[in-house]
Amino acid sequence: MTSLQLAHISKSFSGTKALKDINLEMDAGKIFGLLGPNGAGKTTLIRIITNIIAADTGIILFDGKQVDYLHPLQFGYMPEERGLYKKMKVGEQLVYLAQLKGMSKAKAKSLIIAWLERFEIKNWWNKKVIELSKGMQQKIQFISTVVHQPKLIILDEPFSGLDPINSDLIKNEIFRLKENGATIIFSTHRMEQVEEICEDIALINKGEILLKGSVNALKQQFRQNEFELTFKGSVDFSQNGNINVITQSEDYCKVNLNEGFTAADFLGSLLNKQIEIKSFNECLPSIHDLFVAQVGDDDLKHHNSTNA
Amino acid sequence: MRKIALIVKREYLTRVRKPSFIITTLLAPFALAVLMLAQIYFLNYTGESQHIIVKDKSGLAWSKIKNSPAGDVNFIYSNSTFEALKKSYQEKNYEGILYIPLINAEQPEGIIYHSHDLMGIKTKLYVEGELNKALKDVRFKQAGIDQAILRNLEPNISINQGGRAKDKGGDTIIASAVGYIMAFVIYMVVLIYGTMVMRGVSEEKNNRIVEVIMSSAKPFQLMLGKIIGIGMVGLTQFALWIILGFLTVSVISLLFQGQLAELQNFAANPSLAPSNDVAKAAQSLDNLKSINWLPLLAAFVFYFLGGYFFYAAFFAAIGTAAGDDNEGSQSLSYLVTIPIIIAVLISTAIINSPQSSLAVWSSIIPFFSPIVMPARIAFGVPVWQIVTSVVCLILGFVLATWLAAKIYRVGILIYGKKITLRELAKWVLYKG
Repeated sequence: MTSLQLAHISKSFSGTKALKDINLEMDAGKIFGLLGPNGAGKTTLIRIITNIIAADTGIILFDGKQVDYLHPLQFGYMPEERGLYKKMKVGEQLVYLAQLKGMSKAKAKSLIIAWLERFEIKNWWNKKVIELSKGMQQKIQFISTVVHQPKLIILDEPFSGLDPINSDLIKNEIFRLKENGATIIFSTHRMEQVEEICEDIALINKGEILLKGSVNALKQQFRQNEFELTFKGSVDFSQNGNINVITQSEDYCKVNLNEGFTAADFLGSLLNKQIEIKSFNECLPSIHDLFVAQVGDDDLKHHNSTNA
Repeated sequence: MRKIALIVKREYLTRVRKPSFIITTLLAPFALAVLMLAQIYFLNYTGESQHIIVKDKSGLAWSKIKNSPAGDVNFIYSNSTFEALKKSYQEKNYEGILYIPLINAEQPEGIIYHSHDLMGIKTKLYVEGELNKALKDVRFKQAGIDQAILRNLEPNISINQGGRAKDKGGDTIIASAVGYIMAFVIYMVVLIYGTMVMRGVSEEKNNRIVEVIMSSAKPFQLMLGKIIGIGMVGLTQFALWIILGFLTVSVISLLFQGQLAELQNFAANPSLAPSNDVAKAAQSLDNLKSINWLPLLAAFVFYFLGGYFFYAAFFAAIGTAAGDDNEGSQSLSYLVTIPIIIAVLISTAIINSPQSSLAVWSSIIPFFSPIVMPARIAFGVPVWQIVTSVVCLILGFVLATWLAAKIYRVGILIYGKKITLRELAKWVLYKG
């Protein structure tokens, strides 16, 4: 089921097009990765979704209904640049931020206490934010983002500055929120996290969507016909013109197969050789590879078109 | 509205609870008390009493120059020779010798004050005054003029206010003082609390909380909430100061009750006053009570709030120009402080001519009116001018807030860029 749908979203800043006709659909209860290099327009898009700025054109549909903007209670936004009032106490600050979202004071208080207990930091209630370490502040920021039980959660680089233990803690919370039905937009540069966490992604560059779809489908779409093999014995692939060796060592090789020459053909060709196959699997491109290749191509295209 | 109220509450409470707020609010009236007491002390300070030997060869001043009433200058007449006195005056602890040679009243030259130390200015003026009086008497006598008749002829003029202004219970000195104090207080308020708004805005921008807030509240709500919240901090501080100030003044009045009662007595019966000046001071004190305070207070509160809101909007807009180092807003803040300072300069100038065209125009233009109008309101201002001024200030405030909101909305999200005045102007035209 589609949760959030963006249609024909455009935005210019004093003549520069920051977003050009963005169309995106995000499914309810999934984690959506919003990827792109710095300055691609991710933050602008997020600010439009969160109604911090208005789009020049386009509409937003939420749960199938057209909205001018999302009600603050419906979403939680954690910006990349974290921000809390440094001299305000943790409890008071969380209650204030939840009240601004539109919650009642009593309800906000009980939910915040539950979250603080969950993170085992209940004794921080009366601490000033400035007294906490960066990682601790991040936990408070995370609570402020999700405490009002939003249907849509937007996290911009949620793991930056976190140690592995706290990183896992937040990651598990993200999965738990997803299980409870929240749609999560996850914006990051860290590609290994994207593969681990996201189901669908969109890759943005220079205000345009380069790629979108599920992580698995995209990997299939951009498969390079590359395989890796570990084995015992000796083998020489150079006679077969359909097999191009990328790397080879004593017991490992990575090959690229020509169009039409399938994995089965490759394995068949090995059966005649005196080797023992230990493992065989396809090398799908990583999201990192896709990112680098797609953004690189796109930049080259822009570069050429501006030079032409 | 609920969101603005929440923001106002936060802005207000975080500031009012600060130790620095509590300390300045409580200490200021005591500082005032200390200043008042110091003033009373120094006004009555006469220094050590001085003893001067008078050697009068001419006999013109003999027994005519009198000790000062405060007792700080005392004269001792001596028949010894000047030379003998020169040798002995220090041993006898006299400050110096006033030597009057054999002179006549027409050419009183050659009078000498002989001493090791220079004469104090106050003493010198006093001694000269006494000598002049003595010589005047001699000269009058020589010219055949009767002193008693002369004294009766001396006029004692004081202009009383007539016309419309009389009904207002006007007194020029009081009006000037009250007007100037109100103008000065509003000037302080606009500057202190306006700067507080500016710093609050740049602080929110720099610690990036603003993006979190703006996903919950509109920039306009955040800006207005901040302005109102800080304005209420100002009102609270002033209310406390007025109460505490009133208490301290009352305590001091009680301590110096005698002197005040005496003054009040002189106001009722000016003829009892030791001098004309004292009678006038007593009259002024009496006039304080006759002033119609209610319209003054209403004007003060209106221009206090109007001036604050008008200027706070500009300060808020400029706060958004702050870079990470606050430099941007620091340099732009002069744009706002200069008109405020000009307004103070105008209000000092117009106290001498409260109905001049400068006074009329500057009390209508919203950039100056919050400071200039209170300065001249005690002199009596025509109704049409007050109405125009009030309407212009309200319009000015609405316009300033609208303009500031446009700048604020854009500027608060722009980082890592030096923000110039041109940039600010451009933001006003942005849509969405």
